[in-house]
Amino acid sequence: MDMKIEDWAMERDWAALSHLEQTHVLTQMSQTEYQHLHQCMQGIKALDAEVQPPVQLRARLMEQLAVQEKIGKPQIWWQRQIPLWQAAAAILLGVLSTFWISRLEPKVIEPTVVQVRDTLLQEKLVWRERIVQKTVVVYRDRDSVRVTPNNPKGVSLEDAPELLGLFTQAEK
Amino acid sequence: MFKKALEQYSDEALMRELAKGKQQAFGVLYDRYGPRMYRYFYRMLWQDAGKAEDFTQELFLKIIEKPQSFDPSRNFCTWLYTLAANLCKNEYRRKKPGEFGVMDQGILFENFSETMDQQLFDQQLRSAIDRLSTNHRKCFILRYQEERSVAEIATIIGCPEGTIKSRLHYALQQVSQHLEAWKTH
Repeated sequence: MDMKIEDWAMERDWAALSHLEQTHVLTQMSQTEYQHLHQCMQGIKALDAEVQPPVQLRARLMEQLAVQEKIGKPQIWWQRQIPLWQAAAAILLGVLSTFWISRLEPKVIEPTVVQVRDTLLQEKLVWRERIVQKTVVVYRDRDSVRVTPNNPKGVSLEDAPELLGLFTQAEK
Repeated sequence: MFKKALEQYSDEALMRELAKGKQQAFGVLYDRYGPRMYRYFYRMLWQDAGKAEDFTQELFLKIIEKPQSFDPSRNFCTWLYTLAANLCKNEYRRKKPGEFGVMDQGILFENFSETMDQQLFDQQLRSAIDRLSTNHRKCFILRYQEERSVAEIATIIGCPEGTIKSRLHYALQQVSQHLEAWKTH
């Protein structure tokens, strides 16, 4: 069945349908069937329509909401309420502890002489080493010293002009 | 004056106000949906007034305890019906098959020839609805009694629209057949 027909049946009876709509319905069901469907749907919609929740249900829920609100909010400590017996017990404990403390004898402290021996360590220099370095100059007669040239068979610069040229060029 | 202003709020806006701690917002929401949800539970839970009351209370307690669990981008009405449908589902699971409140057709037909009044028709109709399977009944009640759209029902139940349409078609056929005696020729 067409959803369109279903929607019409929910709202209107056969007579309230337009000619075009009636023609469309007739392609899928008879007029009696449509009328029956409409009757069923009206009945379904009206079924238990008068049923109402009890009045106290709303009040109960509102009460629950208020409780929930209280639980959810963080309370300041001095606004917090405690049971009477807890308050009385706290006061009693306070009074008793004050009384007990006052009954305790004060402790006397006596001075005592204590001898303590200590050791002092001192470093002392016992001896010192001295190192002296001396330079000794020895004089001799010149004649007694014989100088030996390193290469007695060498070539004089005068005999090698190219070598002399090299020296003179370097000076330049 | 303030209350009047709240009454003009949308459901979603009221939920936002409730999450902020405005108690009056809950009152307005209850006035809008309380009776409707009570009726829904009454129909879904075999016309048991006590159960309907308990379930309505449980449903609204969920809103009180966790208003922030509602996503304001969603449709409040659909969300509420989804919660309610889940509560019913749990109840169906809990209840044994024999405990379902199906009325005895034999008893109804005893008086059939004597009167065909509205009361009898209603009784017969109720019986027809109660005889439907749980899935068909859920769709049927949401569509024809609660007047939700097919798309909404699909969201509430969590099924494709095609499945809902086919269930509705079958359920309507069953109910219609059950009420064949009232067909006017």
